[in-house]
Amino acid sequence: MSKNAIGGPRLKRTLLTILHYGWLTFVCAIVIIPLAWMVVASLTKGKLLAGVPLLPRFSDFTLEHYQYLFTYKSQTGAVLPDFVAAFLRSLSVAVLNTVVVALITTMTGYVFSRFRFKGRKPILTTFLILQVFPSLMSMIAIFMIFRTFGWLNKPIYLVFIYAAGAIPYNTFLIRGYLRSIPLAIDEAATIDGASKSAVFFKIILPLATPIIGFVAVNAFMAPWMDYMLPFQLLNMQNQTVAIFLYRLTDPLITVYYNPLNFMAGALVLALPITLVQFYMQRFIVYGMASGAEKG
Amino acid sequence: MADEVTLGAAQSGGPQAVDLGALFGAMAEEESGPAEDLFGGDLFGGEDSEAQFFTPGSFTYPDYSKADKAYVVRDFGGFFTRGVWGLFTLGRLPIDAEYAGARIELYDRASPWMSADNSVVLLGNGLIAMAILLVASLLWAFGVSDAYRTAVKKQLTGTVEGFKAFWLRIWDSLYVYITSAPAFLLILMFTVIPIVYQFLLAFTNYTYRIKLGAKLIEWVGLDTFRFLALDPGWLSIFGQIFLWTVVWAFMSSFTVYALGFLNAMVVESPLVKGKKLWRTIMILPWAVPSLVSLMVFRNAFDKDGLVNQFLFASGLMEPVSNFLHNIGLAGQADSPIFWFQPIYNGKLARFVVVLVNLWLGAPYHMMMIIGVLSTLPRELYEAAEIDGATGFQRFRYITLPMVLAATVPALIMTFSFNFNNFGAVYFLTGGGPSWDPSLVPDSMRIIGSAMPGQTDILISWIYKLSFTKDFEQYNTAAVYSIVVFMLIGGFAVFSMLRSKSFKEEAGE
Repeated sequence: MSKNAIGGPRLKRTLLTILHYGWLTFVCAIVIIPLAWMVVASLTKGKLLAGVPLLPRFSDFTLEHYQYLFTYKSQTGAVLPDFVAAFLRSLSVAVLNTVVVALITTMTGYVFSRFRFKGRKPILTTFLILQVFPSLMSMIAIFMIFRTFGWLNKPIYLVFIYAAGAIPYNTFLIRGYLRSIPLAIDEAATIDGASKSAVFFKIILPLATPIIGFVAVNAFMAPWMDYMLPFQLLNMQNQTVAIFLYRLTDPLITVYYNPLNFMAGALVLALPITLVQFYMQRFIVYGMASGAEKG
Repeated sequence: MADEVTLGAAQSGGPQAVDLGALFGAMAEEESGPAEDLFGGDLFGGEDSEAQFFTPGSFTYPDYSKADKAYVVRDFGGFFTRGVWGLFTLGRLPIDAEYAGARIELYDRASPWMSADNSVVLLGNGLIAMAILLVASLLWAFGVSDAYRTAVKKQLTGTVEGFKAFWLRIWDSLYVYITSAPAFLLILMFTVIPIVYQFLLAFTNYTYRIKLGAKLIEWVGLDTFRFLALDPGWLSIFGQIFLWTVVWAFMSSFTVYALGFLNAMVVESPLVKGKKLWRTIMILPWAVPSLVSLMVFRNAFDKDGLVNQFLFASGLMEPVSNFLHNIGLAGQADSPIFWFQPIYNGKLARFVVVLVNLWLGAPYHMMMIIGVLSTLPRELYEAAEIDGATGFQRFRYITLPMVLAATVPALIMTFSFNFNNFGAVYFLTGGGPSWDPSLVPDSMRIIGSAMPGQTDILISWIYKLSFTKDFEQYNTAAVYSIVVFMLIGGFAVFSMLRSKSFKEEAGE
């Protein structure tokens, strides 16, 4: 945009610039202050929120909360500290969920974007309706299923529920993306003698990497922060990291209640996740744009 | 299934009936495991019972030659027969019922048929059995029709296709169904069955009064629906919760969208330098896991939290407190301010929940709108500039309509997401503050602490109704789940039918 494009005098432009930077500073302050407070709280002694200083002094900092996280074992003889074990449980669920969701939804997305078959439309509509029903509402039934199959207290089986919940929406997303890849490419390959699977693995998969990346990141993120399913389906010996953290902030569980321990734990947990989010941002912006267009 | 063998054995009084303990029998036995399992520990908690096989011994079997033969399936049925039986009857024998000359116990390890029926488990297993039967019968139907076709072909040509040719043909003709089978199975098992189960509960009398096999659940038809629709107390509370849910969904979606839009416009403005840095900071809340942010904010708005500390330190506590009181958000001018726990006054808590949601949700919308902004055609702006349009005019007549048009589907999704945004309410306020007890209708007093708070939205209330210890109202919760499902599912279908991509497809 050229100088004085707005048509007003220089003064107006300067004022506008100040306004812009003022607003940005304000927004960034609002964003950073709670996070900074979290860091300071995690380094403050004791277990009282009231003890967290507004203006921290470096010499008062302590690592006792981090020490708690990496040493505390609720059971003598446990191999790993509670927090680390819970973290690893969540990690295994997240990794498996990523693999399962990416694999399955890519296949269904491919099928729904490339083939005409009986029941295609009704199935898509069913997917759409099912995805609006949160699994939270049918918890009792999920508990029953887990009980019948003997899966209670086994975190890894949570993947079934997360994956089932993620399939419909992600199928839509991948299907929408693949529809923008011209059919002529597949046809040319088929004429050259490629099988359906070859078309899928050699042509569709490489072209769909951005959207699959988006789906995979989302699938990786979801399990970390789910509280309700693990809370109902797992006992304390098999808790996931979200449960562990929540327990630290629940005043009713006095043994564990310590919001400052929570702050440290939340920070340790949030840091890698935040970094992954940032690292994968490219995919995410991409997926969001296509999600916004395709609905 | 082994059931026929079983029946024969049972009728001759032989103890071989236990043979079917192989696979599904073990499951069937497990279902009558220690009932404390079900509600012990943390709501559900507790260890899962090990599958048990009992050894034949000197047990008294019910005398099926004289007694009601209807119980044969109950006593010796496998997973499937017993499952279907349980689905229709929801069990027949509670604790203390007389059966085979003895009293039914909660759990009888030695002779499982003397254990009380547990309706909830029977219903669940019944649905699982039905689903497996459905899949199996589909495969069976396919097998029969394929065998028929092969037979016809053999009569016509005299040849039968080989093993490899058969599988190739199957793979080729059913490629679509085979590749999407894992998805369908997962959805059937972990989405459809739970939904059906939840819906079926709405037609039962299952509440906290029915527990541990002491009483059985019964099908009651539309009684619960009728009660909830006609009782003025329940109706008025439901109305208030529903109204707040809609207001919340609207407010939270609108505010995040508007702020996201504003931030996107500001950061993308040509007047701003260092866009990348600003953007990186501003999307932080989106990158931080939301459960963590919500719990941090719950602490920040605590009595001793960051906000109150800041207000005290800066001397603003009194003016802010008075201001909140004067504009009617707070009932009284407290100091410190109780953000989430003011007594019987939910306005302030509701306001803060929307505010915190704004912190969490705006960055996502900012990123989305930045993405859309980059796709807007530059020529339009240049043409407008030449025509002498002011900055505001360009925004009003080019940017706003184009961005809106591109993001309507996303906005609709945000709305339906927030309609069911359980976390924002549950982790911040836990639904509180509670209502003034004098305003609680008498007919609702039975639900005690499952009473919704003033920030509870429908889904968090449904959760409370299902899981408040000693006050569970499973059937009521199920009725409300159906309501939510209808509303939001209808909304989703409606918006899909109007969407661009769906119309394109219909025209193909």
